[in-house]
Amino acid sequence: MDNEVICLSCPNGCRISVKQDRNGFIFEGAKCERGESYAYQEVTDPKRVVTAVIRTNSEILPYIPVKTDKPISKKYVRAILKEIYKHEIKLPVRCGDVVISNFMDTGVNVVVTRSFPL
Amino acid sequence: MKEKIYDVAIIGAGAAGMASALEIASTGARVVVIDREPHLGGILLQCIHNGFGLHLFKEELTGPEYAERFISEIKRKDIDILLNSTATRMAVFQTIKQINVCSSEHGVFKVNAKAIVLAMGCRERNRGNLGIPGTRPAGIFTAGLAQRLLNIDGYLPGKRVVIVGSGDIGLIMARRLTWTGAEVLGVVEILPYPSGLTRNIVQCLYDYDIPLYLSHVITKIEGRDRVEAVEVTPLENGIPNQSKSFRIECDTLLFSVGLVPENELTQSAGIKINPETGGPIVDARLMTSAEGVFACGNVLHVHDLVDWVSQEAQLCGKEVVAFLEGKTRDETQGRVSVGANLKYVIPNKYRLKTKNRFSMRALVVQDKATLMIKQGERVVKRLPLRHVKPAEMFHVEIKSEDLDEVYENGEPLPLQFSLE
Amino acid sequence: MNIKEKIYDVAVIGAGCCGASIVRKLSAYDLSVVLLEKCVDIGFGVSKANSGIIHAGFHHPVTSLKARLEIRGNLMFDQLHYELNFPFKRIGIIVAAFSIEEMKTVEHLYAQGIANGVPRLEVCSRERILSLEPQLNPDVVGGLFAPTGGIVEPYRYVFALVESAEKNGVEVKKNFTVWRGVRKEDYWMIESKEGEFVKAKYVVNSAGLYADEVSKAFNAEEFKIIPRKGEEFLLQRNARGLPSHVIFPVPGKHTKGVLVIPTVEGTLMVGPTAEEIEDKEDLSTTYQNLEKVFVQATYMVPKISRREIITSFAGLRPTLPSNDFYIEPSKKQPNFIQVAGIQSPGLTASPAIGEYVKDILKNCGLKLIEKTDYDPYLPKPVKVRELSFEELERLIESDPRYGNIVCRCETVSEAEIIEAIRKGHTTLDGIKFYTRAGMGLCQGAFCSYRILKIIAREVGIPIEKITKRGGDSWIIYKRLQDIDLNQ
Repeated sequence: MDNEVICLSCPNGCRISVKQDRNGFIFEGAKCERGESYAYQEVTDPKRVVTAVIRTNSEILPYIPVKTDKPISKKYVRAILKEIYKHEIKLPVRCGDVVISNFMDTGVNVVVTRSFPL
Repeated sequence: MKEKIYDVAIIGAGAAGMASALEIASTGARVVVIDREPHLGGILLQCIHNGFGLHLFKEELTGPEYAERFISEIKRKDIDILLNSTATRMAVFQTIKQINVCSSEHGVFKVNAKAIVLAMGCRERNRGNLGIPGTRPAGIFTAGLAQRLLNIDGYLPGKRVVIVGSGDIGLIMARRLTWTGAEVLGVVEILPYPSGLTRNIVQCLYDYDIPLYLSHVITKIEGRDRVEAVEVTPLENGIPNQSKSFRIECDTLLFSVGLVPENELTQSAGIKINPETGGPIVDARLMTSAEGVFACGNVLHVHDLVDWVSQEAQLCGKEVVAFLEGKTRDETQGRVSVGANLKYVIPNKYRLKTKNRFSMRALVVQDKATLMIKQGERVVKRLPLRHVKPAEMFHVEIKSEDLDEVYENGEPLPLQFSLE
Repeated sequence: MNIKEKIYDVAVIGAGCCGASIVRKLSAYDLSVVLLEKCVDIGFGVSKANSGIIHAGFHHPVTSLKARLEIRGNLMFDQLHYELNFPFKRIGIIVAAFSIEEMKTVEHLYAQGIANGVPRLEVCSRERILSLEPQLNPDVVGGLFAPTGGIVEPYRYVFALVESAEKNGVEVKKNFTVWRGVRKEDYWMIESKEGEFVKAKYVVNSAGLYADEVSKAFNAEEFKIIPRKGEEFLLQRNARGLPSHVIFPVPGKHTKGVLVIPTVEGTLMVGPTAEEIEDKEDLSTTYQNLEKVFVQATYMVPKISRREIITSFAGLRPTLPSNDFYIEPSKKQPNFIQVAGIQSPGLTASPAIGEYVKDILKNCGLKLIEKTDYDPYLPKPVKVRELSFEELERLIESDPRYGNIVCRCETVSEAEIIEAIRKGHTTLDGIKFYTRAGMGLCQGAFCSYRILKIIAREVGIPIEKITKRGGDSWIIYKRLQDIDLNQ
């Protein structure tokens, strides 16, 4: 498996080439160690914070924003979005309220990011 | 309610308005914040993605979370808030500044204040500004309007989307639309490099295999009723090569092609505008050409990060307080002159005996540049910069001890900025 | 009598400035009149892209029908403005000459204008013309000044005419695309593509670009309308190059050239180009024409800047090979009046065309009896933007929706939007042309979502059903809650 990862650990944005042989991964192009561990994460199990909006029961604010409280494996992004769109929540809500907890045993929760009414 | 009297009136309740309001109200001054929207927070409320607050709060927040930090504090303070209220006119008299405000709830009334903070933010450049040829069908949106429709109102504007310009709002919208089931068919950027952050290029485009066409332009919009397709053409030596044009069928076009400070109200009061920034010309106190009228945030110049907006607004708030206390009335200030390879430097004046902070943008893309700051012939500061580009604002601070107290015609010597 | 069986006295096809003027004129008489329009709103064809100039009447020789109607039309605008309150100003027209050769043409235009009866025409020296219009390039050598020229907001003008006509009993049918006309014993049966029928004793064909097709659909004369495209560019309010008169170059053989036009609303328009094309729906603009327009405009007024462009658009002039208006009763079909080839100066001539067509109808046997209750007046529409503090204060007290400013660039209130909807303008463009909401600097980026919500609420339709200008011009694809990520 050959791959190129752009490191996002710092503004340098190193382009790290990743090769895999029998002994594991070989990284080239990283200016620091953080780059290698970033690239390792990216090729083994890349994770992302997902943000979206959830329907509410209110006409004043029909949608409320949410996010995953930590990055979730990319392979779950679609699944968690589907789950989010299924939900409807009742106002009032507070920033940090958990809407979906421990999604598919990933330890990731979906939380509200806007209190309403404030 | 025909007239209301305050020490300070702030126009705009976004990042800049809120931060300056908090700063000013902390001294006990009577402050009013006026905003046309029904909520405090401004555009931050529609920026539901994360990435805000790393500098100010040392953590990654979404737009609404970032806004809420300020909103909760404002609610704890004795600050008057006028929402759903549009400032329609502004007049500057010797000691009193007057704003006409219009709302359904309170009718039309005048707000009189000793000082005004302009914090109206910016608006998006659009298709018309660019003069992009073709038809004028439905389905052409600015990225920010699409963001608002999707994130606040829950309306998906289209299903096959092309994005013009690789600014951050456009990139964020590419991912957001993908996450909503729309197909983003490409991002077309006129420059040879992307305008947005690398992180957004990777996480919003590469993650979803969305093509990024650098050095490409839209040469035609097709469709009579609704957008049907765009013609994309590569630039060769700066000229579109029509023999290599290709067509992308789509129903929606988003423009993310830059922001312009929103200064129609400012201009109606006769305040001078800097053509390079689109914002008012300000002195070292962030005061405009009208005595007692200050400006901060995106209405002054467009920032890359909201953290910088809040910071500038806090600084502005402190200056408003000093002004109200009469501390800065007879200050002498020197000119700031913008030299080679720089687009602008804010503020447009500096002062002696105190720290000065400047924000600026380069005109060029360059590795290993040096920012030179001279007072007369003497080099005050030589700042090496790893990489500069017009899309990235940078800051510099000059300590008071680095500045000479040399005058010329009663003014401190001009401070000259250039990039080498 | 059953509505379906109703036979109108007159059906006018096409709700542009001509059709609107004709029905408004007829509304003063005891007649039943219907105005048929294929678009979703009136004035959405040729008229909406009009430059809005009220010409003085020196461009065409008096031998042409269009010159006669132009001069008569120009004179009628003060009265119309007084009655209907659409935005109109007689700011004067200047023709700027940049060579001795061009001054010769100016003198010819002057002589032609005098022969046509244009009042107060003046040939100007360099000093005189520069003092009249300091925005002109100082290289100007002289020119012509026609103080009776003016500007009008073309869509407001059409809206006002139709509103006045409706007030006096004229019916308007939109989304009615005439497909064919069948002669019955003593009336015409007009069928629409949408499957509707209208019966009328007299038919007026003022269908603009489609007048040739309508004529064919009635088995009347065969002719061909050639669309002549004009691209225009709109610059922001208080543009640096804003002149106080309409500025013309010395005209070429076929067109009046690229003009610099201060609009009634304070913006600045430059254009139009002139290019004969085939496609009657081709409203596209090109980069080459932007270049051309700005080179020519900045030559006359150097301070005009591209950086101040708000938007660009294109319009089509419906021209005939004769280059004159074709207004006469059909020689092939009874009670069928042709009003075709109404290109520039059609807007200026339109009030006179209304009168002229009324006389033709009379000669064809239509009985004209003046109504006793004819009311020519329309109230001045409320524009929050133009009100004084005190006026606005009183207004918001009576209706708080005047205090909700929906469009910040043009200061348009919710009440004005609702008024537009109430008058039948339920598309985004209809509301834009009626109220100016979305016409300013941000081009709707801040107000479209607000307007969409107001339309949905007032009309009682879901937002997905709202269009920009009818047809397939939908704006919103779906609501988030209706989205299926599995698709």
